[in-house]
Amino acid sequence: MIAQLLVLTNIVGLLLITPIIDGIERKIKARLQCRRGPPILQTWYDLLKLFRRPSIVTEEYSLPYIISPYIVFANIIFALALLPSITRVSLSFYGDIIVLTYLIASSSIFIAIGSISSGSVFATIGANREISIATLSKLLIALVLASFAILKGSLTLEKLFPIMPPYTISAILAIVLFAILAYIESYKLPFDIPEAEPEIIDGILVEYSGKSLGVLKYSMYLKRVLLFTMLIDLVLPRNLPPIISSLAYIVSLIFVSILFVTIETYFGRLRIDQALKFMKTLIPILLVVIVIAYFHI
Amino acid sequence: MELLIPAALLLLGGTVSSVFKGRLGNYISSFFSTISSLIICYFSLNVLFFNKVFEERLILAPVYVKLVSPISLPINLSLLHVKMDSLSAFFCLILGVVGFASSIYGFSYVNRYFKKEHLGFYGLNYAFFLCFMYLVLIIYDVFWFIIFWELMTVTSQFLVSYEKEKIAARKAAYKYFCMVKAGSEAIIVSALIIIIILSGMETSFDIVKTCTEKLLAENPILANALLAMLFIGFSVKASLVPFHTWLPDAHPEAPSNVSALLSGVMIKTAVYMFFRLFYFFFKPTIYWGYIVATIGTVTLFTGTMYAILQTDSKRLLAFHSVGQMGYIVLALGASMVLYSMKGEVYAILASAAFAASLYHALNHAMFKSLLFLTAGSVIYRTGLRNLNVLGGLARLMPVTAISALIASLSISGIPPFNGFVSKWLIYSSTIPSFTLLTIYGVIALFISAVTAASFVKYFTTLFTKPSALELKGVKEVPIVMLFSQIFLGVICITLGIYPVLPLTIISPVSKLLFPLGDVLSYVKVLPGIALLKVGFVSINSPLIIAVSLTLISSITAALLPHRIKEFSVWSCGVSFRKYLMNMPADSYFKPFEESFKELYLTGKFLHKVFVEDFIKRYLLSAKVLARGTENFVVMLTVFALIAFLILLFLV
Amino acid sequence: MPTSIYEVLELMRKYGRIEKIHKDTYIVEVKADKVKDICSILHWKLGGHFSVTVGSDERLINGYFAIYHVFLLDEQKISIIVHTKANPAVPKIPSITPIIPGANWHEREAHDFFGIVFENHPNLERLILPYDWPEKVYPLRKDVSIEELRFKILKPETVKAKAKPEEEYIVPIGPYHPALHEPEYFELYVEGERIVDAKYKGFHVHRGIEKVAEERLTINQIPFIAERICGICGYTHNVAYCQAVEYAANIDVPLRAKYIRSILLEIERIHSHLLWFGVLFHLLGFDTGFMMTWLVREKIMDLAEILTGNRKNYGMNLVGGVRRDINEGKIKLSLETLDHVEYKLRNILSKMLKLKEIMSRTKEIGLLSREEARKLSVVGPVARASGISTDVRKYHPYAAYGELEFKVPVYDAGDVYSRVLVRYDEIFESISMLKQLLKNIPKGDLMAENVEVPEYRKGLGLTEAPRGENIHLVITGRENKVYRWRPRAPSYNNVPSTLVMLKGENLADAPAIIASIDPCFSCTDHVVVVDVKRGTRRTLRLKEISRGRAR
Repeated sequence: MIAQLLVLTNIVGLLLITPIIDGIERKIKARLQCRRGPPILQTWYDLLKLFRRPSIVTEEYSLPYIISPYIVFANIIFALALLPSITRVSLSFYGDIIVLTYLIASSSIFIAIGSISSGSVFATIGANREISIATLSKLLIALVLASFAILKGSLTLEKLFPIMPPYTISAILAIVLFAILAYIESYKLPFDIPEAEPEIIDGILVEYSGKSLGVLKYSMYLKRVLLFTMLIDLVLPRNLPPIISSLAYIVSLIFVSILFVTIETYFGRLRIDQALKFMKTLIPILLVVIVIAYFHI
Repeated sequence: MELLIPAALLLLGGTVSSVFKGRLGNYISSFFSTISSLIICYFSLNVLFFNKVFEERLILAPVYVKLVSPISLPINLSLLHVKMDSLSAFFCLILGVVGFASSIYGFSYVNRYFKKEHLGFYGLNYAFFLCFMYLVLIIYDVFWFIIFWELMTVTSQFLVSYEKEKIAARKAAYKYFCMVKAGSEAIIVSALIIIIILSGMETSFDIVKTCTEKLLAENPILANALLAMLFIGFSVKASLVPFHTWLPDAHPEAPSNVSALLSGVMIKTAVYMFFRLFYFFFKPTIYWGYIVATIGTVTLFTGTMYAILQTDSKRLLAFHSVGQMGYIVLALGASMVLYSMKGEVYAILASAAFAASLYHALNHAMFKSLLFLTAGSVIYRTGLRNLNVLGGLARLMPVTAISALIASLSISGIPPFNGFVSKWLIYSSTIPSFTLLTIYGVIALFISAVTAASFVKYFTTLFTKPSALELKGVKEVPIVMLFSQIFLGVICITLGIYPVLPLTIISPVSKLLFPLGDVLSYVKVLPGIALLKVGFVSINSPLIIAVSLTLISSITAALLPHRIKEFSVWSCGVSFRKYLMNMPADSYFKPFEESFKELYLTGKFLHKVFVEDFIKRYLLSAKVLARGTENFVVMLTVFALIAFLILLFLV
Repeated sequence: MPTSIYEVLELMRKYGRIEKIHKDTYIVEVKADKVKDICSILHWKLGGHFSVTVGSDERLINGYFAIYHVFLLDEQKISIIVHTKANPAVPKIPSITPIIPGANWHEREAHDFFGIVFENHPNLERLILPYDWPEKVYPLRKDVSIEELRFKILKPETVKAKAKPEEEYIVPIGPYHPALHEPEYFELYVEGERIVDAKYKGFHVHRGIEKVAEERLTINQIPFIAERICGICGYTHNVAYCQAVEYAANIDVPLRAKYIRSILLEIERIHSHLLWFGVLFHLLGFDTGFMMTWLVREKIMDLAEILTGNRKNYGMNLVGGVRRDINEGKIKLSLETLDHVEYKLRNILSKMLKLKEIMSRTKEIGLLSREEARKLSVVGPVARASGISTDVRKYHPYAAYGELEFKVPVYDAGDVYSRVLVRYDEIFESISMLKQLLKNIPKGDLMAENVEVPEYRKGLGLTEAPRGENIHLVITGRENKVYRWRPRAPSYNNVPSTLVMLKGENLADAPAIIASIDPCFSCTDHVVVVDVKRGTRRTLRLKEISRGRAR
């Protein structure tokens, strides 16, 4: 019972914090670009504004267009419940790592199906790019998780997190590569490709408005936090006293997002084929990591 | 006698319906097929749930024996020994369910061919096809197995070439014939004949089994050679790489409910024979395990990577059949490898893999047939298979769209549908094994994502993207077709959220075949997938996933007031003629395809070298040889010489 | 091939009567059947380039429709106008588009406004007039009755796309698109992510400036409306017009005024190029570059405000000179600002251009070969990036440019990156030119003494706008009005080249390619009334046009 309550606290807390994290990112990005930037709570204001607005739907829509934002949201929330975040407790069972991967994948798929169902050609182009990237990144995530599984000998997240010292070379490499993957999956420049874009007018988000858009954007922010949480959980030790561990988590979350946004400010956007090429070059590196991990180096 | 009732009904129904050229030919055959399928289900469920035993020994009158074989062979042909043990029952259940759905579907669907083709011919072949598939699964006699296997292939071939005016259909059937009949069956038949000879002219499975076990011990080279021959032969039927090339041509050309049967059941008969081979007749060894698992991985990779390129709805589904067979075979191979490794952990993993293989076979039959039925519904109303121009059907055919969505999500492995559970079992058994199988599991995970991408393409190009043509008069399909689709959809969901049910069915199969015994006793250790724990409910149970996802989404959706207005799709301020704003299926994932272009070029190269050039040279040499072999006596002498040499080697 | 001015003029004499309009500008009157030959010689053999085609209704002067094809010969530093007349009853002239594809739009425009039929033109469709403008109503004819122009849009325009195979799909870019800062419509035919064909339809912001100028404005009011043709490079239009009238009327502008004009022109060039860099970075997703470039640009805008009182629309010119002066204090301030800007740009911009993603998304993208550039007669940085060395400031010097030292950067790869480099070099050349101008500005008057404009004189004003060569043809009229004014912005010649550049490229690169020619669509669209969609939006009121009755 207590465990379930704590998991609920996790989720509620993350729901509250995520737009603030996004606000911090926007502020830091603005400062790095010599601008002032919006206030930190701006993302909350934006989301609340969107929730109040009516939705305008297209004339040629099909049902998945209406329901997919909510399904995506539900998928990500459930995935968040599987990870220890603010409180260090999570829902855990054998093989939950696979469920997590599938939930992330299914969120991409539902976004794609939903936006294509709006009937817009821009959304279809954006959805295609989204799925192309998501497919390759699933391969990379699978490889990384396999290397972690080899390192720790288990497929359960509880046993995988964290990777404790002494850090073997394979562990360090795996964590670094996972950080790169988290960066790619969270659609930061230069991998901003399916999302907001001057090329195809916002891509997958083009025909969404009002509440659905608010929910979708919220889900995207949550997905970013989800990936950051996975990264942090790999490193943060588990045996800290509860309040300190929560604080440590929140501080690390802010730190990771600032780090990533600083890197992001440096880059322009890649084209889809260039992005896929880059991801393909990661594959042999990961295979090498798996082999090294097998030999416990 | 009971076991043969469905067969008799089907034979009767087929023969009667062959007389009628019109719709009656279809109705009679479909009616008898439906009834027989239900009876088959009844028998299988009895065996699997209640451990009943069905065994019959039918003595055929000499006149029937003369029908089968005019010359008298040294084998006792008059004994027709059928037995439904749990393995047969499992696959018969698949046959029954899919046959039921497909036959009911056929009531309306086949009327599409009214006045264009002879519906009685369809009725005859369809009923006979079901009948022979059933007999293949329950026959307990090697020689009759050969006969029924061949008859099954013949009838399915006629069904593939059913639309005889279409060149594509005829070519596909011809390719099917060359590869599956002439090619693989020659290998299978030769191997089986050798086995029969070695068993002292006895054909019953039990006797053959003792013989093969003895052979494995005494002459392992010969045993493995025979096993290899049989494996290759059945691989062609199971469409494993590199013998898969007949399937993407043949399955799309058959009528859609027959495609469902072909993809859903017929290739599973090959899997049935794999299980017989590796677990019944011969022993599972680690080497064979790796070979099978490797072939499985290559198949799942190749099949799906080619599937993502397709722009023909049924061809896309056919390629996915190839891919998913790879999953089944990978799990089978994994179970063999893991069984050979010692340790408690590996016992659990091996059982999981064994269960995964059968589970995925069941799942694949369900969702693949559903997919073919939805594709068939689209063809029924629009006459088109071209994904480039179709679209927007979700508003016109909502129930079909929902079933297609359920099936697409199932095959992609999205929780909480059934594909997720079997794939979860595959990953849980291969990835923690820390052998080569880990890499195979990772590739399987990747291909699962590619499958999902491909089905986003399938679903959206058929149902949600705007079409390029004006689709006149398209509405929902007749109620019988809807019934089959809904029926299969409900099964998919049930198998997904209540995995205990299929595992209970798999358990007796494992008790019969698996050396470690009952799969369920090992898989129980993996919480949630096998049991719903009371108290702190284990959330892996996909039911809980489904419920919580639905709850969260509905709450979020209902939480705030929602006003909707409609407006046309944004096209930057110019209004577009309605059919211009669509993205054809050809353009989906082009960057993805280009990033893997080395792969496709290799495939093209291999195809050229091994198939095209090979066929050219083969035909050339065949022409040369044909002149020499015009003489029947010469051929017979050659054959006899070869057989004599083999026997000499053995004795 | 004749190379000296004398030899060229001798060659022209064979085709018709030659007359010198003003310094370095000659007009040759030829018969309609000789038009193609002479234009072909001028563009291809003599190494000149086609600049603009102007139609004119001269039935009130000499009873004919007139067509002027203007060619600029850089080597000889002269301009030659080929003048041919068309029968007013059935105006037909052989088209030069088959020889010079760049004349396509020019001839279509003359057809739209005057009804002149160009024989053998490959696609003489409507260019500027909206799709539901009534037939046979030619707005720029002097006898067009305003009552005929009162009508409503009947139905919204639907796109009729060309027949395409089923593997292609259409992506519309525009008229409203975040990648464009002005409305234009590109129709891209795409397969996968590769563009296989492109079509363009523009002129959505057509404002009827030419008709307004002819009917309602005086000669000295037009500079102010000329400045408002474009939101970025308006001053060049202003200067070009004033020069055209000054040459036509043989007015001598004092040297100090010329220097001041040149200073403002160069300031405009710098801020326009910096704006362009910002936009390009934004389209490539590199918002950091966008912000930083525009931050430096602000300094230049401040400079413009110090010198003229406004960031744009300086309002400095009149025919004959400038209106305000620059004092010593302002000159000193300007030099300091320029030093600061130059230092910042050398640091920031050069580093940004070396970034891997920027280079990988601009190199080898949007190729325009030299032959295509010559065929379409592109101008400005687009031409200079494709290996054609052309610059009005160098080869047809105006204002104070004859007294300055500067280089013309030419690259020959013809891709987006070359255009980037051309503009990058030009910024620093401009800064150096500005320093020369500011240091050497002579004392003197600001305005010419006797400003009298005789009637029915022709004048050609050329300037090098940031986007290329800007050309205004003016035929002065009676009672302090112009008879015909044709401003042609450089983007008019450059936009058709995008259709060539877009083929075979990735969809994701389309906005960057379109932006690389620095399109200024407001400049490009100018004549005749614009759309009255749904009858509710009032654009340029027809009554306002009707107030100046045509004579």
